[in-house]
Amino acid sequence: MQPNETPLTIAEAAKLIETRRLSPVELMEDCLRRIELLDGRYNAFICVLKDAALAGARVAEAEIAAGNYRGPMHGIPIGLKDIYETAGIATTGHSKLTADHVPDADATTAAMLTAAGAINVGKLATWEFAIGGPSFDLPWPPARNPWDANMCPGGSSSGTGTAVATGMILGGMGSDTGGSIRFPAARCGIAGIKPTYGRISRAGVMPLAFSLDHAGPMAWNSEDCAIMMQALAGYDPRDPASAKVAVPDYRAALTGDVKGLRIGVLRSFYETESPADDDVVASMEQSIRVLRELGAEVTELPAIPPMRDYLAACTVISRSEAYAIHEATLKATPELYGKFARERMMMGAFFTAADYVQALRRRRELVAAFAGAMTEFDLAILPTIPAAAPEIESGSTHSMLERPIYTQAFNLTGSPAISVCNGFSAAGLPFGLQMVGKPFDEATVLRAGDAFERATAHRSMRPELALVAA
Amino acid sequence: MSDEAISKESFAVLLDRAGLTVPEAEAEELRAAYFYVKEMAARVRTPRGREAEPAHIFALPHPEV
Repeated sequence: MQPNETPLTIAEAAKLIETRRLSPVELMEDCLRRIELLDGRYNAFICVLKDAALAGARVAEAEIAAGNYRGPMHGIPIGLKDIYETAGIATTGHSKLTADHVPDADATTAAMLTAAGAINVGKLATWEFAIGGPSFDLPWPPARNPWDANMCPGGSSSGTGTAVATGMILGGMGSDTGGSIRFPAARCGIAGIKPTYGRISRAGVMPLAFSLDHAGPMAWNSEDCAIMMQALAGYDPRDPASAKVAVPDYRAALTGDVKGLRIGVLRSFYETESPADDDVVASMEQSIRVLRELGAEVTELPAIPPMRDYLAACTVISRSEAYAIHEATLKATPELYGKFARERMMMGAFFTAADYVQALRRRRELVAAFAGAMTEFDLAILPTIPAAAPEIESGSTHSMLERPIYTQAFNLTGSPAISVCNGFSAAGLPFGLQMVGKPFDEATVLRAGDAFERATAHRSMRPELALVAA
Repeated sequence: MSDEAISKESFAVLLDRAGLTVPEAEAEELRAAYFYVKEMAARVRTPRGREAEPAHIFALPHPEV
């Protein structure tokens, strides 16, 4: 195997595994070889569970040979952002503070993926506690962009994005409180879906902001996200926000047909309020043309309140909740945090209780405004990010407030939202198209993402990867 | 008149009230970012009646009537 050989998608590998043309052991060995050749440069992993992963692959091989095929995730190598608790395996949050934290139990989602037959290859790099990055003052280096290792891969699910794009894993778990699945998905040129709030369990995932955190899958394309969603969605009594809503067949929803789908373009966010770069706007216009050619009805979404209103409410709530979670340790041992996590969370100390309640009142208004705008639409679309990835060392504490990405609004509204690759900069760095649906309509979001990917050539583009120097 | 969002003295009170111990340089960075706090706190205060409920109000499970 050469690292620039095209990796398999989950769907491709599943077909081969089910028909016994590919052994899970072969597939795992391929992924581990990629990790060995590439991760010294890209830093996607905090820890690689080589022996356990191979053992898991042998078990999967034996089960399948015995006729006990569990479904398309069986034998598939996956990774978990290192805020997903794993029994007996350190879950560090990519922080000195919890470097030695070993949980007793798996996160619900980790257990569900294991039950579906997926095999955990290891724990993935993340911005510290899903907020502080890209940081160079932590026990492990930050993950790097697979398209140019000098560039930032986005975050906070940075390791997941990088590991999927490089083929080290075929799918992985991220989390998204203000964009942390969709942002790295866009920067790494892959697909990532933040499902509806409550669709996938948060139990056993280190919290950042209880009312904004979403767990979700990241994979090469929408079809793979749909396969992962099928294994992950469902009610969990361990998560107080978990929704008792029937889980549809996400993969069956991928008909390729978007004729008549009513899509509203949310132009104000990226054309006037926080203007995107010209090449992002150009990719967005091309995406609109593609969707129209596929038969979707693409018009302008009715006006909603300013993006900065959504950002303000989201930030007051998220920083207040994050600070409350970390208050004791930020006071007692602030030096055990990296600078970015420490300063970003400490901002929460300066909002008052009245600020927080006012933000919650504004949240109700903003949720209603977006729902009202979506009355005659099935999806809203806009870019995920305003520009291609910058250099990884150029980050600042408040860069996400200085030039926001276009994602936070949909954490506030809890809407399902996917980012799929929709183009590249002149320097070959990817952009993302964000598609936002109505609550619990992940099926339409995934169908649209899948149809868009099949109608464009972006899924045939893979990063040219740098090997670790001998 | 200062363009600062908050004076050094006032910010020191906020830090003290929060119980946070922060090196001087970092305190200055946090203070410089305070204008984001003020701006966002103002932005969430759109005009609304007293009866406007926050998003976290919840309903307890109850039997169907």
